Amino acid sequence: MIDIIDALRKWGEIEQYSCNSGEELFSRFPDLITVPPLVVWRYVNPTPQLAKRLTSVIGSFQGNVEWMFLSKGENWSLCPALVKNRSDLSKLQKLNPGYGICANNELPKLAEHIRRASELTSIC
Amino acid sequence: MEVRLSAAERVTASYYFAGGQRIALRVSDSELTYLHGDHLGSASLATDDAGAQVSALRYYPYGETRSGAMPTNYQFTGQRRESGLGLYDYNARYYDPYLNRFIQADSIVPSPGNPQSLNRYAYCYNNPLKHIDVDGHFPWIVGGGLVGMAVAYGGQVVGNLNSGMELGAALTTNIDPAAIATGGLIGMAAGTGIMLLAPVATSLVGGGTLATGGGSLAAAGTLAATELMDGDDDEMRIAQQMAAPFRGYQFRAVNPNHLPNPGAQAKMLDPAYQEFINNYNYDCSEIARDLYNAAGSGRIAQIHGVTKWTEVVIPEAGNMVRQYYNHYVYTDGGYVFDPRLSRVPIPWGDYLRLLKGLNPEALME
Repeated sequence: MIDIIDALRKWGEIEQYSCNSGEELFSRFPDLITVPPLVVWRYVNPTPQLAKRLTSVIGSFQGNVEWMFLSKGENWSLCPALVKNRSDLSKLQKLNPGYGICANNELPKLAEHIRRASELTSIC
Repeated sequence: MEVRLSAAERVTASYYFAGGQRIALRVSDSELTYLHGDHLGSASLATDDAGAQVSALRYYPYGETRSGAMPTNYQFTGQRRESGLGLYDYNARYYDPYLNRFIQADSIVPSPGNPQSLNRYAYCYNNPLKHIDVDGHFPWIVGGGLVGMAVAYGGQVVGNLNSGMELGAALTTNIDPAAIATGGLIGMAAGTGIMLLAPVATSLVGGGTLATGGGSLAAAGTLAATELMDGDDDEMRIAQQMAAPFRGYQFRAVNPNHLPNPGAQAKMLDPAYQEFINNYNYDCSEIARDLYNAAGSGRIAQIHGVTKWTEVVIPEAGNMVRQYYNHYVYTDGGYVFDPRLSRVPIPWGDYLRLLKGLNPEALME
């Protein structure tokens, strides 16, 4: 199962990132599976073209959870659409833990989708 | 009972106490005189049994008599004044209110981390409006019991808010009366009106009957402390707070003798700044920089793995642990200010222990 960071790396060199999702993390802290995932990363060379492509790729993903990709500023982010800010993570965890579980289970599929799209882009 | 002898007469003064406070005096067979103290416990007003003023005494900050008189020698901060010498007997040492100094050196240094404590003749860290000295050795903060309880309650509320609760729910959910009572005891231990508040704290521990509606206590730790302290005592606003525990890691309370940087603390609690803390596109490095700028001193600490792509696990509030490459926090040297983990400064050693527990291989610079 591909990690979301590895998938995003296929699109450019990442300078730094943070992510609250992943098998290794869940093996240490199993309850984190109920926290909606939030991925924040920074490309070394972020370009508007790259942002546009990723927006298109993520928008084309067919899943059970609606995802939101933001590319404003240096840090780009990917999270379920219900997460408007950081404080929403703990709220959603308490109010709707199933949402976090569903999103965390879907994130690897989204990662795979992003990785495949990068391969197709390189072929084209 | 106190007996005063002179060539002409023998005077017996009987004192009456309630809750450890000297509240009344009877001289020989006269009527009772009721004694009233100020916030330091200094005898300030005497009334008769009808409530009429008998006498009043006013003090300068360090205890020298400003005006008036009292029918008792137990005057400034409730200590006995040797009227013939003009000195106060603080048990371990004599204190001269004119010089604002003890006339003997303290045999101990009560708080080595506090530079004010290193002057062994100084009275109450040179802050006599806030502290009292019960035994000539240790300055105590006045009101700390109440502050401790309020801050303990506030800490629980802040913990609730940090975990995402709305304010209304945060005021009443997961409130532990025993912890509040313990906070009161800690507050007193940190130095306060021990005698007055001990029964309150004890009853809370025993009965656990504290109302959790929030009406009588302020909503959050910082506000609670502010409400209870004298207006100009901003330091106490941030003293004695304690960050909510994180997954079993218990943080120590703020040390009242070594307060966190007030500029960084204010920035962290600034309502206008909350959107940046909650904005996931805003970096920890940017937050650390902002706090550093607000503080005007200190440094930005960096936590990272042993190699470039070794991840580290970073704690955040609301049961959230993140993987990061580098994590930046502002520190004033004694405390870490990491608002995404806690709005209360965390003692540096505690933060280090938590980070090392999560990342045994991580490096901190």
